[in-house]
Amino acid sequence: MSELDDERSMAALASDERQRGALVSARVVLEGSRSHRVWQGTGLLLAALVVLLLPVLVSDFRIGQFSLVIAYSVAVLGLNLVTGFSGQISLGHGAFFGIGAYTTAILVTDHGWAWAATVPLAAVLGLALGFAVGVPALRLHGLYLAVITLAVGVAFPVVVSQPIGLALGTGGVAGKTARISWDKPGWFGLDVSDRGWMFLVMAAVAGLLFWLATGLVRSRVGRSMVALRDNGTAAAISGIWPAEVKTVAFAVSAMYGAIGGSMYLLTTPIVSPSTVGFTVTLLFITAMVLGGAATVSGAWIGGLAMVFLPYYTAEWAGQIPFLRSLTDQPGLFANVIYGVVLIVFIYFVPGGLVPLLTRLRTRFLRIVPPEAAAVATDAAPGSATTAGEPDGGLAGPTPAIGGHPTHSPEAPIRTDQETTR
Amino acid sequence: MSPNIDNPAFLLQLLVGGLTNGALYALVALAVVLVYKTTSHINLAQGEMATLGAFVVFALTQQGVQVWIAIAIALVVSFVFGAGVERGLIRPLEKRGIFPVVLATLALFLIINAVIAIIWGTQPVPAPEPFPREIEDKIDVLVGPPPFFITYVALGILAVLVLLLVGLWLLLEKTKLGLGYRAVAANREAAEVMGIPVGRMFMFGWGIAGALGTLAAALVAETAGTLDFNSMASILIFGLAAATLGGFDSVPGAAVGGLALGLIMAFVPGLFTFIEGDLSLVIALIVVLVVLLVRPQGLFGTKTLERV
Repeated sequence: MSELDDERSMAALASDERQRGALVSARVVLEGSRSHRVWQGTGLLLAALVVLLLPVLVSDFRIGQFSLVIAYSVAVLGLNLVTGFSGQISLGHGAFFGIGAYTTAILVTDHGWAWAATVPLAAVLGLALGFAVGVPALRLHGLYLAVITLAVGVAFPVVVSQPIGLALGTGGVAGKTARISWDKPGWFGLDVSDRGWMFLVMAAVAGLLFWLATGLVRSRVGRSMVALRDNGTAAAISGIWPAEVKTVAFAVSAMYGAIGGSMYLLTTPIVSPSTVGFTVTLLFITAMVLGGAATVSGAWIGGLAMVFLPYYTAEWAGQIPFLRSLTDQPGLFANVIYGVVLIVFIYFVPGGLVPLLTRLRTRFLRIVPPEAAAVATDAAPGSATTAGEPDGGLAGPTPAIGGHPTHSPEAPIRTDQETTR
Repeated sequence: MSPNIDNPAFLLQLLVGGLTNGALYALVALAVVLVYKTTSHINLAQGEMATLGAFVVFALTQQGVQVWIAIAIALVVSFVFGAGVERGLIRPLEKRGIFPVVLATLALFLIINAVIAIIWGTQPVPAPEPFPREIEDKIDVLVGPPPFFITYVALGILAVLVLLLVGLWLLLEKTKLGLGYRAVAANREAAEVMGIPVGRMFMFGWGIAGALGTLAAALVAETAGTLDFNSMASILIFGLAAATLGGFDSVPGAAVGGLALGLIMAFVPGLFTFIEGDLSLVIALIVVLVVLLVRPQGLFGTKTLERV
């Protein structure tokens, strides 16, 4: 695109802004420009500050909850990668989560490993299992994949309580306990508790994993995943090897699930078949849709919902005598609400919350990729975290070759030299 | 190998046990297939809807209703509920493809599962007993030792499956409603052009599937002796495996697939005794994998051709 085009498009954008004069006129920032970097840097800095201050300011109980948010977010992120970005239905994420949790629990309790040493092994086991599930996924799509992964997800908690699981040390139906204690090292200056220190370590690990995921979805593999999701045939014609991309997506997704499971054990000292059952898979899926399936940052919102929605629902249900009289397990109301939230989101917010928030932000700050500035009109430009369809194809069937008519702002194929943040 | 390999009573017991369980899987598989044939969707909440139906039977029998009348009422309720779910929840998502519908059925799964647990508690309740299941309610075939007998429950379940298959065949092949259903299953657009109310046929399929599921859940509860809010979780997997084995769009395939799966799951652990514990879900998973990799359309299914 020539310089002239760029200028023209910027002028077009400006006039577009003038036409909508009633609104607060948004600041337009070119993607990758210096001011864009400043905005991003400020945002990251603020986020880091919040994370650092959290253990100083809030109680240990809250910190436990936020640690759980981190563990769940990492697992949900795995689901985002395989379902949101590469469009493959995975109903066995609870099993991947469980593999990680059980690996860590068994190694820590029975073999005296340090937690940090178990994480790589959990990740490798997750990768292997995900690969094993991903291989049949090559020949199957849609509903058959749903059936296979569903069977994996339902079978896993049953198998761990069978003799074969007991032989491995899973502890059967009662579950496996693992007490992992953390001491704050002396060199760390902030006044946080041991639990707070653990939270910070988890946040650092999660930050790394989210950064890697962002890199992955922007990489050649990530863009191939999106292309295969949107139009498998066209993608294959364009030289993408579906077998490679699909298995990689599954394996990486399972790895994130397993690491999430490992981190889960830091917050909760026991893992049992019911913690890795099919219901957990359903909660992961709800969390994914809630935050935004085809986003990386949506996983955070999903994780927050997975922790705080049941907590506040139980509190709320406990206050209403009628509801309290119905059942002694107020957590069940949370499941009803999850189901309702899932339906509401499928119907009304198929893209999830992150694209919604992004659109809200564009009222004040619009980030426009340089090559898309020419065609950027009323439609919200792609956010920093959204690639392709903001909803992972949730809103409708994939378009025929030729693409979405409304999709032009992001249509230009980006090159590998594209700036990454 | 099992030391009982040359014992006829043992083998016959495995055979009957396998067929009885297989009949239950077949019922669930039939429900899955009847939904899939017209709408090309799999209702992952089928098992939970069925459990809800079985709890309706339970609640009615608690009120003193005779068990078969309770089942009849529950079947009607499930039919209406199934059809209603199709019309109200699934149909608006129809145009948006497979994934949103799968998500919607998962949401339904969560809601129904939790609602059952809220209303009836998480502890198992005694199952309604449509067939007598006392210790003497059996037909002795071989006096033994070891004896071989067939319980009335097993006979009843097999009879229900046969009756249902005959009924379904009559309904689908001999009535105008069935003709419309088959037309929609064969070619949705053509059926619509011919003036067949396609939407009503979807609802019909979902309704029948709901009723079948309820019947299956009531019988599953009877064989297990108890009923709880997770009764059908693994049975749904077996039903899906049976439907995969028989072919997702074949009614006779579902029946054959269910019975075959039942036999596989009786004979594999029965003969290979080194398999410890209950690994039936793993066996089902392996069956699904093998079928999908070797013959994806199943034994009786139609091979789908995709034009790319």
